[in-house]
Amino acid sequence: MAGRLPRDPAPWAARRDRALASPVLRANIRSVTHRLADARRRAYASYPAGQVLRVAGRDAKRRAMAQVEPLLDQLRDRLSANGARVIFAEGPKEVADYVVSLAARRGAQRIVKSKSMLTEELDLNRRLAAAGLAVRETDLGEYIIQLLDERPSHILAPAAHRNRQEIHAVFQETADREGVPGPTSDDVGPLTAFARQRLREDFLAAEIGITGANFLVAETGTVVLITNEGNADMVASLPPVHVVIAGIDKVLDTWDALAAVIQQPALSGVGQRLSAYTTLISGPRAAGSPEGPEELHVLLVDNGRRQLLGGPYADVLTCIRCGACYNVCPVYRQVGGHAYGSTYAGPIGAVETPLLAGLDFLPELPKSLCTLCNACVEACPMDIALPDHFITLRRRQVDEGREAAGTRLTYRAWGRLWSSPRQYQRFVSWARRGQRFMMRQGRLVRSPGLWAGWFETRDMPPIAPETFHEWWARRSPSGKAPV
Amino acid sequence: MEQVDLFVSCLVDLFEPATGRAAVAVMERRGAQVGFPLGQTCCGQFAYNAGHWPEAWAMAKNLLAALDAPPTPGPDRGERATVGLSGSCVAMVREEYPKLLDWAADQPGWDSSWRVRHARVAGRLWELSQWLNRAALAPVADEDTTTTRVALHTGCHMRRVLGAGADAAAVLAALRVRVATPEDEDQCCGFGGTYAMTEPKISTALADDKLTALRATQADAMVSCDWGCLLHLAGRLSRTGVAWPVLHLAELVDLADRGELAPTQLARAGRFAREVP
Ligand code: SF4
Repeated sequence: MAGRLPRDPAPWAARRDRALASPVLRANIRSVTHRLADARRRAYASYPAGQVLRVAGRDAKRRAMAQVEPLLDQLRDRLSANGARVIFAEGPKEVADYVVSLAARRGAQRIVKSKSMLTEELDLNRRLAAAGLAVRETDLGEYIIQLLDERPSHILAPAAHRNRQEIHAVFQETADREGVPGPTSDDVGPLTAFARQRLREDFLAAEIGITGANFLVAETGTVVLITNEGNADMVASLPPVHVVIAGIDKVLDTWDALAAVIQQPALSGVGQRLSAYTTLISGPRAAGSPEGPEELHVLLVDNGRRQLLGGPYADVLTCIRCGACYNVCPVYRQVGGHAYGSTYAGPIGAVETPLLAGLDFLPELPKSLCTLCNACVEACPMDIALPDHFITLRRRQVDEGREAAGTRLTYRAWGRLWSSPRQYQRFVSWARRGQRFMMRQGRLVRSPGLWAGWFETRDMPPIAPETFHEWWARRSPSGKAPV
Repeated sequence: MEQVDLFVSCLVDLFEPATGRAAVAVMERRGAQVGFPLGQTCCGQFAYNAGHWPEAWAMAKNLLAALDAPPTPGPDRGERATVGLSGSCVAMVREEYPKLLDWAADQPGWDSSWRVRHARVAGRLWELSQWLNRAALAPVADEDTTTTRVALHTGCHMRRVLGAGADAAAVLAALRVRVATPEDEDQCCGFGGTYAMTEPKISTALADDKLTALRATQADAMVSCDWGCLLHLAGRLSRTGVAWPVLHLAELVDLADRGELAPTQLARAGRFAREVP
């Protein structure tokens, strides 16, 4: 079944133009993407074993996606045996309903969360807020965008579009509103100190902690969380109830598979060999144990994923959310994440969004956000065939008649004229006659139809007075060039 | 004598035939007997990338038939190399046609001999700098003191799909042309086939970034192996009134062979902003 994703209601042109018109945003995105892309390159260059592991990790992810259902059953059995409650959930509504009724049963009002793109995809915060629950994001980037009431603009660095000055301003506003001292400067230290101080109170007060999962190991029944801030540890251990919300694509078969892949998010994402914190969870607090939550709930969410299993796009489900493809994408580097209008941006977002939610959903994504430069597939640690997917999604849009009629006709005519040498010659003579009206100072400066966009910003040479074909025809049979 | 067929690409044929003429001169100078399969038009990449595969397939069949047809006179094409003047088009034929063939195999009117013809054509197809990089490259001109520097732009498909990202620089180095590498050299210039037409704003933002990086090298000219990227970048220079020579690798090698690499000579050969009145 197709999944349901939130979207920015603004049309593509408005989203794009908003991004292009913001020099601060573009400078921020440019600097973050270059920094992370360079870090990734350096990390692999200085660590050859990382490449070997990458291939093993990719194979492990693919193997798991080829046998998802038995692995999920195994995972559920193991986790249940340890006292966790495991629930298969369809989409946003089922997940939100589950958390809301859990909160009601526990008399809980305050929730802390660690970073989870899936809960963004499920629009969970808005749904929980609508049910009267107070949700606090505790990942630094997520905290910032929560204060700004924004969506993540980068899969790994949700506040990638904001710089330190902007973050300082929103922290200061928050401090003023809450009557506490603001950060002492816009340096990283004071900013994180401010967030840490504010978040500490939330951690201690929360009755429910929600995390995602980076990996789920079926063999051992383990939920694996990796962060660089350690906030997920607190979310998973301080509140009396821990809810894990994870996509079914997170499952791995064995512990060895985990060992193979666990470094890849850090290597590809930020250029570190391992994330700073790795948390392994296999159940709620055991009898006699001094720590851990009383209840552990694990929600395994579909939201459009199962329909991809076994098909030509199944490799999309092996994505480890490292963001490497975002960081090298020329289009992402220009417009940032919000222009995509979806939870997921960058190359993977432009491909995955319509695959999860249907080709009608943000149909501009496969068309307008990719130049087919192939930088993404080169960077992707999981070798996801992103450029091929862009092309075949475009083909499906054409096949299903979603292309404007005029465009379709143009391609038909173009294809017909250029697929035989005789027709091609006729095209040349027509074009020569037509182009006379579109020239200035020896250059083509405008054109009708599909080509018009080119001439908004660029010139073209006209069709040459003598094409190469025509020149060749003048060459003497001895093969000497005419003078 | 080595027999070589030329695959010029539609953009060279229609808009920049001087590149094709330069390639003929360069290849003949290196002892090749150059042929030109007459039926060729376009590899169909623009339609393929935009998702219009029936049109792409029609063009692909035409190109495969042209490049596979026995020449008259001359040895069987099987003994000849084919040299393409666009890294992107060569990548299309070699790396993307197999996907198009898989698709076509499910369409009505499929003829499995296309796979055989494709294998023959793709197996002997090289991009110009790949061919030059393995052909005897002793500089034809004995001039070795040029101070000319060119900024090299390597197209994304040439680099990442064809895997020929280093050949052009090697060719230029062998010719003692100094090559300047722009910052962010592996970033896309924003051309992207019809992307340049359907998303002109993003495409142009990328062109401007690319041109800034290329011009920052203060090279005497820019050179590339793809007229796709070059038409886009030169078209942007032209529209913004910047005079900076833009050349295809074939033309630069031709000039180097003739010892005509002085900046004024590059300027005469390179494409400019609107024609100087
Ligand atoms: S598609 Fe690949 S590069 Fe992009 S986020 Fe997923 S794993 Fe990382």
